[in-house]
Amino acid sequence: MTSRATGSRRYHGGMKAHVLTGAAPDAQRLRRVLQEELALRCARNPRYSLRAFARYLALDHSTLSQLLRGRRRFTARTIERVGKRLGFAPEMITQLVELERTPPEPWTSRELKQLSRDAALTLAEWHHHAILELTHLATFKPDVRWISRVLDVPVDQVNMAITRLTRLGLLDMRSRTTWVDAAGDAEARLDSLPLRAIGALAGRAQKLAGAGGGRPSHYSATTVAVTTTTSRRITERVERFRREVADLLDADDGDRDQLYCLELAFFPLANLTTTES
Amino acid sequence: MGHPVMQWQILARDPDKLTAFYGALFGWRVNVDNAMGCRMIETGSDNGIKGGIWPIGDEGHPLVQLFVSVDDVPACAARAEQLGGQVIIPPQVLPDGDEMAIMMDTEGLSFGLMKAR
Repeated sequence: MTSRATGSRRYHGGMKAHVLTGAAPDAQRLRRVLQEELALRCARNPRYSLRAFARYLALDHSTLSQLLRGRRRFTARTIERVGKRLGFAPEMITQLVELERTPPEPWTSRELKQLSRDAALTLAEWHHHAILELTHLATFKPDVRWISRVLDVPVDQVNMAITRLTRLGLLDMRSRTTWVDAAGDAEARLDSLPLRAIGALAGRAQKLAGAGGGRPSHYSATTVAVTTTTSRRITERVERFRREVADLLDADDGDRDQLYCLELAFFPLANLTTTES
Repeated sequence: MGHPVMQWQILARDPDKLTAFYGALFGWRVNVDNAMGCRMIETGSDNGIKGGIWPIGDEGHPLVQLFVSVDDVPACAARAEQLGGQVIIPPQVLPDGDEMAIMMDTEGLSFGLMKAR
């Protein structure tokens, strides 16, 4: 059996059939496979028609016409019928059915995920903070090669960090010679980066989701000194709250018309020895 | 003077592998001698628009971005927002003096605004 990324073929019980291999399938690909199959049949037999193809697939010809033009979505039943007729593997049919059931992810949701990853990596990888700190030096050079050498971090890592920091609004490349740490003022910046990063994420998320206009939103963040015992109790409460929110969302069975971002973060800001044994 | 596409950029999870691929396929060469350490592509021809390859890490989605020439990057970014686009990376000035911003259009495709120095 040969295989290509988009619709290679095999002979299956004497019937020429499509096999989708390689990249993940999607409804567009199924549509293209049908278009290609019809074109091939017409090329072989000039008298072949859409009606004949529809009969072969056991579909109404106007339904097939709309499917081919993208005017109609494939139902699970249609995918199964067409898939079996064209010899798709059962797991491929299942995948295509699942894809049709899943609505496409809105781009705002994709971008929010990206921003969340940006914020998480900004907090987790030390060189993000270090790049911001470097911009405060009189000897700072807005040159990735210099930053890479000073921090001993590969150029690609520096560039990915710069992308994340600018996307979050934590770094401002203001002129060809001036980069500004927009993450906090000079006095507070060491402690404030995690909160600033989360704050930047919340701000960007609100903007992306078009928040405002009287819709409910809430954001707060604070830095606290706390005993180990209380920190554990807070962690438990955060977990309880998370479960409560999950229950609320499970029960939210109306037509969902809003996109929100909920960030929960409670984490140590310094590596201090615990007072409890 | 219009607003031509000035540059393309491929965002790649494995930039070294990708440059090796295109190098083998088209004979493209890579020049990283710039302050951003960007893999600028030398196609061996003066025709066509220039491009480069930028790292996105394992978490990113590989894609191609087109950079459109504008006279005023902040003003165009604001205009794009009015039209339903989004600012992904606000206007920045690169070390070589070029000014750029990354936007997202109404289909969720990202593109760049660029003003050459």
